[in-house]
Amino acid sequence: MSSIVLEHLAKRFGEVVALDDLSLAIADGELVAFLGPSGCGKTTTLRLIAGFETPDRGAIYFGSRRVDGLAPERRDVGMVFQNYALFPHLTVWQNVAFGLEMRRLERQAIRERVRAVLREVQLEGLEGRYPRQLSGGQQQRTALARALVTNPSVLLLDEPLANLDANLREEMRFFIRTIQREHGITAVYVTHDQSEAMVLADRIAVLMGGRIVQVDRPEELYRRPRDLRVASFVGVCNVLTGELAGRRGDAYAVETPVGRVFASGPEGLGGPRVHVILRPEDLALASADRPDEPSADGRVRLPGAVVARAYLGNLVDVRVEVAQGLVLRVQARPEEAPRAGERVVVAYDPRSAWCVADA
Amino acid sequence: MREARARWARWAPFALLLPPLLVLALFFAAPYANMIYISFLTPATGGGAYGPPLTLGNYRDTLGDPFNWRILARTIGYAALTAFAALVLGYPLAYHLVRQTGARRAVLMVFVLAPLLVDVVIRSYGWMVLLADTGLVNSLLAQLGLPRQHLMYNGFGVVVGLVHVYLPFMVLSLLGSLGGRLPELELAARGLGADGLRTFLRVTWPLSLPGVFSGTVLVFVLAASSYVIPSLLGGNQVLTMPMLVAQRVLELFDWPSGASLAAFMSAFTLLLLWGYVKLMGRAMRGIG
Repeated sequence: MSSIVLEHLAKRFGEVVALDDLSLAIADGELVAFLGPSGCGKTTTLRLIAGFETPDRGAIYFGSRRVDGLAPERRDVGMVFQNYALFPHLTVWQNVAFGLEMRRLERQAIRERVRAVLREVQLEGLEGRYPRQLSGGQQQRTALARALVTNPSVLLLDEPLANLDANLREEMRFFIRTIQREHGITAVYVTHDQSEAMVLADRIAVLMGGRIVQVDRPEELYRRPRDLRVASFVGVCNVLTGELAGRRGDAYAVETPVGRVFASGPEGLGGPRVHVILRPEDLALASADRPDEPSADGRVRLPGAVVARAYLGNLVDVRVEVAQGLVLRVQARPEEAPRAGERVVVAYDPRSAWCVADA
Repeated sequence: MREARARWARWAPFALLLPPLLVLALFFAAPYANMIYISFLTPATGGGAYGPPLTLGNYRDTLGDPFNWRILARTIGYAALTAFAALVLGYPLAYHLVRQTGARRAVLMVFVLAPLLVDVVIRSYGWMVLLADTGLVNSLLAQLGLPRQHLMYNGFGVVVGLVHVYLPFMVLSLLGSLGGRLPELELAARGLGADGLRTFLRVTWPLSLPGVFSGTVLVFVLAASSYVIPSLLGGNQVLTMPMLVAQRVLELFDWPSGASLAAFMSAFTLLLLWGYVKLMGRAMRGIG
């Protein structure tokens, strides 16, 4: 096991800049998810770490060992590909044994090790099957077993769950997480699915345009995004855009089309144009008919009208127009959700709202 | 009405197959059957035409003559050598080609296919200009003070011609099995600790066997039945089976003998291919 350090990585493909000065340190045993839209450079970074591409500039270290000049077979990485890349002409057993055979282990040692890993990923009894005779989930686990069998110092996963159906995907998230923890292996996980990244990762690195925009623990990333792009990529968000108008206690005051609102934010927030990010689950609905609750609790209240609602089973997605053309998404419990056309008040605690500067 | 449509749906595939089947029956199966029939007829004696009664004598003569076996062996040998050489030359070419993208790939593709635009007779004459005793290659050797080589009117010239003409077929056959997901599988092997050579031996080569199989069969069959190239580049020094058949039929007017020779070669080639299919089938188990 070892840490991974990426230093000022840059990579171009012809005219296209895939990576533009990317630096990141991943601790020993940590799982970092690279999250971003397609073409953001996350897969390129993974391929640089694996050695399938060479960086134009920068360095890659595993622990104290510099690896960016090494061929892939000399880096000691385990990789799980999006399409699994199982060898179709080899059985499950042969696929998993491949890496050990390349390391010229003794036959007996190979047999024991393969058997142990297959047990771990629950593929016992399928050793003699060819990949095409396996279900998607079984192929996925074969790929995982093949990557783990050599005890690599680094595990790389390239959207490993993208081709599974929703139920299985959820199950496999926890499975991968458990195995990674048990092995204590340093892992990089590439995905464009933010909920996958949230569940799996110790830290998430959000990549955009070949750069890391923000690296943080999932909660930090969600609650305190660095800018609007991160906020809207990680979860649903409502945005009130306005001008910074000073502070009140811990909160910033922002002049918006719906009046003056308050929100927390980073120290030294730059103005004048700022965005207030409101998560749907932090917004509460009150009927406009009822007398105002005492505003001493410091909550911000925005009157509006329900323009649409969508029933989602466990909750209702309510859309409230609080100003001309400005609609907020609010999550309400089904039994409390107002009907379309009803006048309501959207209320929130300024501590749950977050301000970011305009990029 | 509905019944009629159902009936049509059942027969539609056969109806669509009918035109090609008719063409094949008329221009392939029928002449072939006729050739087999002729091979059992009694040859002409003293200027008469061949005709009944039916006899096995042609086959007795054909199979009993060691000369025919020698020619067959040579024909098969040249065809096998051609298939092998085309594979050795075509494999890296196809491997490289399939990993190119966009305009580069299109241009390389045109280079591979362009020779097919020139007729095989013309290309054979082209090789004669190069390979003749007083040809381009030998003048070059002379300039360098090296001894003159006999490069045509022998097996070498024939195989060179055959390889050149049938190489595109090999490359086209290999393209399919060297592309697709193979590049990614090679990366997977490298990531698992296999160096370049072992990646090739354990992943690339076994997975390209379907292309290797179809390419070698195609080139072998084409080369074995080739008539123009061995005639021109072999002169009369290198006799192959198709030339022998043509000689019997066109020069000696011994149709039954020629027909039995042709049938002999067909049967033998089919037998070889059957063995090859079995062999490769075993090697390709698991792919597909």
